[in-house]
Amino acid sequence: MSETIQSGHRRQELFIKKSTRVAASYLNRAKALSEMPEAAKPFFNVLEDTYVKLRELSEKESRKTIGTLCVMVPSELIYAAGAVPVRLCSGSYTAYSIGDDTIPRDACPLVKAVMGFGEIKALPVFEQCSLLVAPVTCDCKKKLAGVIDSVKNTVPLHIPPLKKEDADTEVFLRELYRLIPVLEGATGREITAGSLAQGINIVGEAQYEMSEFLWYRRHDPALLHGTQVMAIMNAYSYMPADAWARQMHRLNREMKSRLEQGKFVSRKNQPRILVTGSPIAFPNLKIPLLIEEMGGILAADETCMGERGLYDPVSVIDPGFDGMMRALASRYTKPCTCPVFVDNSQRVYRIRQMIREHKIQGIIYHVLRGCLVYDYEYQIMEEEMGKLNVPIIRVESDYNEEDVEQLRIRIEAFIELIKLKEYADLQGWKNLNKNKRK
Amino acid sequence: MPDLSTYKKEMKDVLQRLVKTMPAYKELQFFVKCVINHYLADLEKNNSNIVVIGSNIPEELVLVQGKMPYWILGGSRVSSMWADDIVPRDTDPVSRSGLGYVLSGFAEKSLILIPLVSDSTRKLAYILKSRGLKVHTCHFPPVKDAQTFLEWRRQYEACRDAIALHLKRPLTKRALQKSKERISMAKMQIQDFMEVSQDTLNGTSRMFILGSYYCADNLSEWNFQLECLTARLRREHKRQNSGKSKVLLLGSPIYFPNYKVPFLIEESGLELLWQADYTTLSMQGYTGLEQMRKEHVADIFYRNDTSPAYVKNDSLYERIEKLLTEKEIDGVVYHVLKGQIEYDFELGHFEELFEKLNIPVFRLETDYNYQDIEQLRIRLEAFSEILNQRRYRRFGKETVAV
Repeated sequence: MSETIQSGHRRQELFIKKSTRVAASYLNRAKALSEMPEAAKPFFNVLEDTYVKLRELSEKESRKTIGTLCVMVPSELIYAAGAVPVRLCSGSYTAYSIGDDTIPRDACPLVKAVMGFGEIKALPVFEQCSLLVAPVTCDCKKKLAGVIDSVKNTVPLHIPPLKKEDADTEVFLRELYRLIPVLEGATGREITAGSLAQGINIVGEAQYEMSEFLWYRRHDPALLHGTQVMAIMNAYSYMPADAWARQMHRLNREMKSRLEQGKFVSRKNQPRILVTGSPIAFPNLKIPLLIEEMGGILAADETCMGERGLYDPVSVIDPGFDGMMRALASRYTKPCTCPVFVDNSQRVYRIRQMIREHKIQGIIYHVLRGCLVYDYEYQIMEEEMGKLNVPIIRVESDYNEEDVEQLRIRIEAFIELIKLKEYADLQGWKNLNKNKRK
Repeated sequence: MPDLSTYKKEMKDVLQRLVKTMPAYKELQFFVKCVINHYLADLEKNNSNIVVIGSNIPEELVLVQGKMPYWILGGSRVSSMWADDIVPRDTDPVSRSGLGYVLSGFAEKSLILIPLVSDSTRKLAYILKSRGLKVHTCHFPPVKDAQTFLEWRRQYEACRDAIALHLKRPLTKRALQKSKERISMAKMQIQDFMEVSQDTLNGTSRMFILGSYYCADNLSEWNFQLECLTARLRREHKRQNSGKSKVLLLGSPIYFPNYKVPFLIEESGLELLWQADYTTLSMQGYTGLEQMRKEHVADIFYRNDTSPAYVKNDSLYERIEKLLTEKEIDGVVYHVLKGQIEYDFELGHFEELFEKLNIPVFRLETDYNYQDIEQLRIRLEAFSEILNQRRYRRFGKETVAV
């Protein structure tokens, strides 16, 4: 018996050693990118506290925490219940290898990493959660909700696969009403119209700061590195929204002064790349880092751990309790561009919009191995980008570092291709003008 | 329509192989013809009003038009290749095959019903919709409780309305009642057949006859023919106990003509006693008319559904637990088709059950290609030997097949 306990401890020790090393290495690489804003440091500190120093959410916080496994869980409801949401979608390679023993081989690495944390019990933020809310989105998350229940009390949240009709939103609304007593039971606090309005305001503040930040992010040349933006967005998962919004406000002020001083992190002609596809969860910042280390600039992302999570605000028309609930149900399904929905043509429009606004020159379509829903949409995206003459590549990756060199070569070649294309387009345009003058 | 010659050859080869293993009863002819018509003549005629991709649709709704819909279950290797350029590499062969059928030009004027049991079915529905086809989907609330039963009823009613709109006539209570009765009769007949045929037909043949249910145009006729076959089997001499180890086939459903696994099981010296996937189990789930009167038919369907659409597939677990205690099963072959990840997730739960009951389980992962057949054969033969050894230890030498 004592031998088993000892080997369990040994395993945990090894896990901690390895996982903290990987997380610290990615944090350092992201920080090492030129001109990191001073105001971005608190976000990095949060990631460091969570993954390297292995601290709980916040020593000052006395509120309970509720773990969520997707951006489709309304954090407003959790705040309204007096708790803090923690998004547990992780990119930990070490947790992935632990989860690999329990979860089927072909499942996506994100699900394996979550299960790995559940099993090893070494991530305080995970252990701290009183409850997990697991949205039933894709097949892997659906089955994960059943499996992870053995290590942590989990409540599945049904996401309807259709979202266009009002009847579809009604399905989700009923699900949210079902979630209320569960959250109240976990926190011991009643969700009232007042607390819900407060919850919506807390998240709304963060969204407001985010929308301002996005304005700065669109600037060409870039004001800060996309990898650092991904880290900042990931920090939202482990911070109360109000604290995150306060730091974001500071960052926005710094962005403003950078803009006024003309302090940029990229050159004018540096290829601007958008990343879309499977989530990029900390510490798996492999793809953003490769893009920026190879001379590109990650100008935007269309991923759930990035911009998508905070892009659309809740718009309350009827301020009554039911009105707010309806607004939540609508916000978490209708504008969502997650490919788990049957008809997700909105995602194409959103990417088109992002290409225009962020002056995107190339797209990296990230597919985590086993993430079939994103893979299905690649073909549509490829056709649409072909029409817009925007180069796109599909990059398949896993939670390990074995494929880094191969990815580096592909991303480097892609960046070169964008540069050549821009040059050819420019020459073509010049020749056209010459001919016109003649 | 793509070149059908390879497709026809695939059907012909499997049918020939299958017929060789069947006894020469004239009552079996109907089922063979039924399958040939479905996969060849009906596909070319392409005049079905309603097409269902998958089997997980309340049958009384689709039967209300008076004849069976065209079921696309997705067992063809050739049709799966027709969709190769459209779907991602890791897509499961069943979805590929189903999509291949429809994209070959089939069902352009039909209403296509798609039960959303997995990620692939959702995306498949979108691909077909975006190509201008008339598609109706129905999804399954992933946790079964009182409130989700109501949710499922809404789905059921939406499906009923979509069918009525397509057929341009209301689905009356009387018509629904009639189709419920016909299905109930058929299921009762299937149960009888399964019990009687155990000692007279081999597992693959039984699987084939059961599968022909989804090929029938006229359910009453199919039912009558099954009754005749069951009567014939009842008269025939029962086989002596073969001494072979009996296995239960669990996991991903096996659809005609993809009979690679059942053929292999029987060639490895095992007896395929029972197949228990969600399609087969739904066929065997007989519900009496009395119960149908008491309970909403949508509720019965939802409660008994054993598809992988649920967070925890308790219905399947209960059915398997019952089956394992009722039947003499020596081992379980757990079949996982590449890309059908849900079955792999469910295996963990089942393994605990098998361990409790001391039944060995063998996980077999494959797709519709034949490249892995020799490797699978070796593994299955090794499993067969293990089971024989166990039988030998339990019952003595004379009970073990050589």
